[in-house]
This record gives sequence, structure tokens and C-alpha cells, in this order.
Amino acid sequence: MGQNVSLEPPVTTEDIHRAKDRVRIRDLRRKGGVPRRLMVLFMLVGPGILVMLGENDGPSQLSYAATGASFGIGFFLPFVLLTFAMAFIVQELTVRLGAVTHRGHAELIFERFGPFWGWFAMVDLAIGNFLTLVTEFIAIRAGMSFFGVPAPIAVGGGFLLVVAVMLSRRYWTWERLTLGLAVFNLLFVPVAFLVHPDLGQIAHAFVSWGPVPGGFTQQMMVLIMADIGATVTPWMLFFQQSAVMDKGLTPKDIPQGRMDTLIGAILAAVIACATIIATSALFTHHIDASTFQAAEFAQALVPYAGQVGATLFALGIIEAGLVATITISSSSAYAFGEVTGAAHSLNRPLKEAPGFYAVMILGAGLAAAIVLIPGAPLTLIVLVVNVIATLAMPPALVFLILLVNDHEIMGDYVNTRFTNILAVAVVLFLCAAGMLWGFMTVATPLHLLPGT
Amino acid sequence: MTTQVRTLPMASVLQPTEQAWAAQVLREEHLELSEARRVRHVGRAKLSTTTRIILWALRVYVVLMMLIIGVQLWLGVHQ
Repeated sequence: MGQNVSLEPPVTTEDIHRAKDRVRIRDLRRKGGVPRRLMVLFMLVGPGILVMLGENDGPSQLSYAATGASFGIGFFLPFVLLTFAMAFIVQELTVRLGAVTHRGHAELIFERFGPFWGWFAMVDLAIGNFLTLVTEFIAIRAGMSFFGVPAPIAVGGGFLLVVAVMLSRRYWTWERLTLGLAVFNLLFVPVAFLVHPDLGQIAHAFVSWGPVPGGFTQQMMVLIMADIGATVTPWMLFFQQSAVMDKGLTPKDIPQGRMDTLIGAILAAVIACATIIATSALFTHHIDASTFQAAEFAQALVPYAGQVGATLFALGIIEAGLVATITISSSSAYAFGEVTGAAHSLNRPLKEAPGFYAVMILGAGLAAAIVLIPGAPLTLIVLVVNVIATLAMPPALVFLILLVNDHEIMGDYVNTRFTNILAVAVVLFLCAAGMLWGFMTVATPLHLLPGT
Repeated sequence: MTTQVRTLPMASVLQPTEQAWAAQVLREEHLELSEARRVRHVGRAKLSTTTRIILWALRVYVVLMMLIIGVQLWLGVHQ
């Protein structure tokens, strides 16, 4: 009575779950010792591995398969390693941004650069992500067709599984379920061994960056630029920073966050190389795989990898589509919540964050439905999504560099001179390759270039 | 002065002791409460001349990007 009452902000379910997760990590840190340090790392990994393995999505894996079938073991093996090294340099920046500012990427763009760029980032991401989700369900359908599963059951089943994971009501549970699924991305590795590749040829490829069948033709250069431009896609930046924020990482967790990203990059690079090696058997045996889809790749591998290898390949494509659907949907939902100010956390139940879950689930649902519509322009969607994802990268990368150099929000964790030289060089390279490829995709059919 | 932790209607199932504990843990970890984070804004960046030039270049880029995507769509539909 008559007392002055000062009200603290309300405590939510999100805060309770986050506090429980932080206490577990804090207690492990206090106990010390190498096994406990490894446990701390185990507790803190997640966003980095998920973003890298999520980038090995259905269309990417099919692209690697096509590369192996068209060019065999050679230039593209070390090239893939280089692209993932560049991806690590870029993604590490998002770990620091998320851990220091406790804000998502879209939220920071909105707050620091204004509503125009904030909404542009969110809408641009949402459109690109939605179209990418369509391609993921195409991959799931194609992978399941190897097992004779009809399209409605394949797509519907995939959607229901994804929704079940999304509604786990706790970030930790969601993350561990998705990581459990993502482990199956490694299925491509045994397939590579089952085709009995020439290990000497593989070693020679990594050392000499060759051979290049047919030489560096214009078509090959366009393919290389497309691959560079697609090294990092916008959803990766938004997803990892938001996941780091939602997981509750703090600046003292940055080393583990960095290790998480590195582990993810290494795993993804190994898997990508394994996929190229697996389908190099088709190149060696002069199989024309230029029009192959997932099931056809798997079927074509039967004589060389056996039924087991073909089955693992098809399962890998299905897993790639499922994990990417979960992570990409989450990135759209996070961005929506960050820009609109709505609740946005996987630590909240559906009734506390309806907009967040609506974007996540309805986006995936609509994408799944489109795949089942007879006559839907799926080829056009696949074509356009590559262009959008590649061309949307430069603005996202530019904002990333501006934010990570922002002393006001980053404090002592702002980029060092060395990190800036590395990051800016990679960003300029990715932007240039992406923009050049984007220009060439329209210039070539319109005969705007000499000799076309 | 008495400090109370407010509750949201949907969080009424959370026990007050659990809420106070969570607030304490997050404070020790230098993490904000989720509702505090939503209402506390980082603020607009003070843009240097270089940043302004970059943002204007981005605006030009966005227009070109829309053009290329539009042409790509048109080519995809008509080919």
C-alpha cells in the first residue's frame, strides 16, 4: 500500500526455456576438464552445422550429382572445398553478430538502416525462400519415386514430418531433431566408396585442380560463376544469426559457435565431394545424365554402386529436401517476426507466436501443394529460384559487412583489419560472380554478348 | 521500492518462482528477457559518406536486379 512498484518486463516461456539451456551450459563450464569442454561444444553446436548441411539441399545435391556425371573426378572437387571455405568466412560473421547483439539479421537491418531496407530484406528473402521450398519438395518427391511412393504420399508425408519437427515447442528439441535428420546427409559418403573410385585420381584432382574435360569453355565458366554465386544463399545468413539468437548464445560462446560453423562446413564439403565422386561413375561409363532427376540418378548408379548404393543415394536426396525445408522455413519465419515485431522463437508454443508458426508452416504447405498441382510450372520455378537466390546475395552480403563493422552494436567484437580484408575480399568475389552470372543468364539468350 | 515481474496472460501457467529464477539466470548470462528485447530498439546507424554511397549503389543494384529477374521470367515463359 502506497509502495512504488517498478515493473520488470514480463517473463515468457521463451525465457524459461532459454534459462534452462543456459544453466546446463554454465554448470558444465564450471566443472571444467576436457570431457566437459567437449560436452559444452556438443551443447552449443547446432546453427552452424544446420546451415551448412541445409545448404546441401535437394537441388544442391542434384547439382553436385550432375557435376560428377558431366565432369567426373577433377577440377570441381577442390573447387567445392574452396566454395565451402568462403561460406565459412561469411557465416562466421553471423555467429558474432547474433551472439553479441542478440538480434536476428532482418531485425538489425530494419533497426540500423530503416524500414525500407528491413522490409526489402524480409520480402526478398521470403520470395526466394518460398520458391526454394518448392524445389525442396520436388526433390523429396523425386527421391521417394525411387521407392515407388506416389507423389501425394511423398510430398504429404514429407510435409507432415517437417511440421511435427517445427511444433516441438522448444528450440533445443527442434534443433536436435533437425540435427538428427541432417546426419543422414552423410549417406552420400558410403555411396562414393561403393562405386570404387580411383583414389589416386581423387588425390591428383585436389593437388592439380584437374582434369577439366573439354577445357574451360564458356558453358563451364557460366557453371563455375553460378556455383560461386550460389556458395552462400540469403537464407543462410538470416537463419544462422536468428538461430544463434534463439539458442541464446553469448559472446563467450563465440569460439564454440565458430567451431560449429567450421564442423558444418567441413561435413558439407565432404558430402558434396562424395556426391560428385559417386556420380563420376556415370561419367566414366559415358552415361548421359543431362536430364536426370533424383530417381534416375539413383537408378543409373545401380550397376556401379549396387542396389544398396542407389538406395542410400535416394534416401540422401529425401533427407536433403527435408532438412532444408525445416531450416529455410524457419529463416522466413524469423525474418517475419523480426521485421513486424511479432514474437519469433522456437521456444514459444504455437499460441504465443501464431504469426511465426503461420509463416513457417503455411509457407511449407503452400510449396508442397504447388508441387502436386498438375501442370504447375515447376521447371520455370527451378530456373527462376537460382537467379533470385544468386542476385539477392549482394545486398545481404553488403549489409552483413556493414553490420559486423558497426562499432556501436558490436563493440569489441567488431571485425579486425585482417578479418575485414578476408571477408570483404570474399564478399566482393561472391558478388561479382553472382552479378556476372545473373547478367549472362539474360544476355546470352537475348544475344547481347558478342559471339552469342 | 518493490520490483515485480509482470506476467503476460498466456504465461499465467508459469510459476512466479520459476519466472524470477529465469529472469535472474538470464541477467547473469547478460541476456535480455524476450519481451524487453522486443521493445528495446537498437536505433538507427549514423551513416558515413561511404555507407551512404554504398546504400545508393544498392538501390541502383536492386532496380537492375528486378529487371534481370523480370527478363528471366519473361524468357522462361516464352521459351
